Amino acid sequence: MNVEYGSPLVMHMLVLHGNIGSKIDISRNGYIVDKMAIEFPESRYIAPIEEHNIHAIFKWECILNIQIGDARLSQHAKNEDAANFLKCTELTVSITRLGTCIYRIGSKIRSESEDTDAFKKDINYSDDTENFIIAVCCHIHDVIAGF
Amino acid sequence: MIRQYHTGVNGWTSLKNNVHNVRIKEIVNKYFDELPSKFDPSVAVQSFRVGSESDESVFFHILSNVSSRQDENCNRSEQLFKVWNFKKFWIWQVTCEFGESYGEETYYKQLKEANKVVSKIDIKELWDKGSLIKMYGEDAYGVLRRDVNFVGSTRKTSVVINVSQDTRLIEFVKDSKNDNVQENTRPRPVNICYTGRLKGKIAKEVVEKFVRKRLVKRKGPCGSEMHIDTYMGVVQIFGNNSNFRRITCKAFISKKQADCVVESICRMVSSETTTCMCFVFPVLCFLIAGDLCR
Repeated sequence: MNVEYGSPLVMHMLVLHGNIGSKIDISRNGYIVDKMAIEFPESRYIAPIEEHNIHAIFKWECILNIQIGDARLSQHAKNEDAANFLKCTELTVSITRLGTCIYRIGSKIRSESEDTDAFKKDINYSDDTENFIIAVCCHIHDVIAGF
Repeated sequence: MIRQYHTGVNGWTSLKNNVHNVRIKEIVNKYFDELPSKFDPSVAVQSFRVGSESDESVFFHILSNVSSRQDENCNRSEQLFKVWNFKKFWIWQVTCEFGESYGEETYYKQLKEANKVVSKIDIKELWDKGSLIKMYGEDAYGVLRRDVNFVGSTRKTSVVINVSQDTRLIEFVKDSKNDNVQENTRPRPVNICYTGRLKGKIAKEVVEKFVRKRLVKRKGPCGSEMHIDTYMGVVQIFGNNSNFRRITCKAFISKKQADCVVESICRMVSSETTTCMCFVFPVLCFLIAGDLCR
């Protein structure tokens, strides 16, 4: 008997890395906090803790809540299969004062052992969905970089 | 940063964090080239003056005078010196910007040396030339200190570091993290993990064969039954559960690559193609990594 996919691969963690190319003010009242509050009011800001970490963290509980101007991207988010997956996907962006940005995307869909229904629902995670997530991160990156 | 080596302690230690540390680190980074790399503080009180090329002077004083490492500390004071030019004298305003006398302003009158024309005034050197007479603020020519006769300012920072008497070596270390601003790069995937399921029976003898050929490791981390390292990432296959097995792909950079690898593993562990895939799998992974999945 052949061994084959019982259910297709679904992303549960995705990490992207990028650089702004310059130092950035990540303090509580600094530039980037103001900028993100204006551009992405739905994001939650977690301030860096002096002497403990050097990251300003912005969190979105659902990646679909991120405001993106690109109509083509927005269209993909309306695709039902993709939306089922994306509504369970959260994004965390860490920004360091040296301009390094780390994008962590995590799926809240639980593993098979905990919830077999998750796989039965035929959650479709396609290359397009992955490209959509990466494009959203690139959009945020452009905003942070001030393009 | 500053680190110390003590008698009877393995490795380097550093000072406890306090309000001065961040600023002292900045100073060490800025004037790193002017500071000695290593020195023995037990020989004598060590003092260094740095900032010769800038508009400030920084004085380091290292004293080996506390009894234990727990008592080691650092302290700093900063003063801003402003100077105004008058016909026969200079007027100095010294403001304490950090330290015990924070906010305190003192004034000094410094007589000019007779018959000496100063073409270019070095403010840092000027303070040391000629006697200074302390003045009260209200007598310090307040209204006559204007922009037109303002010469300039200089800052003096004094850093005092008290280390324990058993310190044998002190080293100034540059924090290179501050220099490492990378070029602008768009976000790109560096680590993607996927979960899926396989169906079908994986014969025991097939697994044994791959384990012998070191293509598969048995009992990988996280309770996996099989652990397969590939050029593109790591695949873990978990125990059989009603003819289904959970499969996780870690450290990949695209779904396309993960799918390629899982599909080739499926072919590899399907009994009919075992012999063939034993040889094909490493080559296939190489080809996939090189061309197909980029």
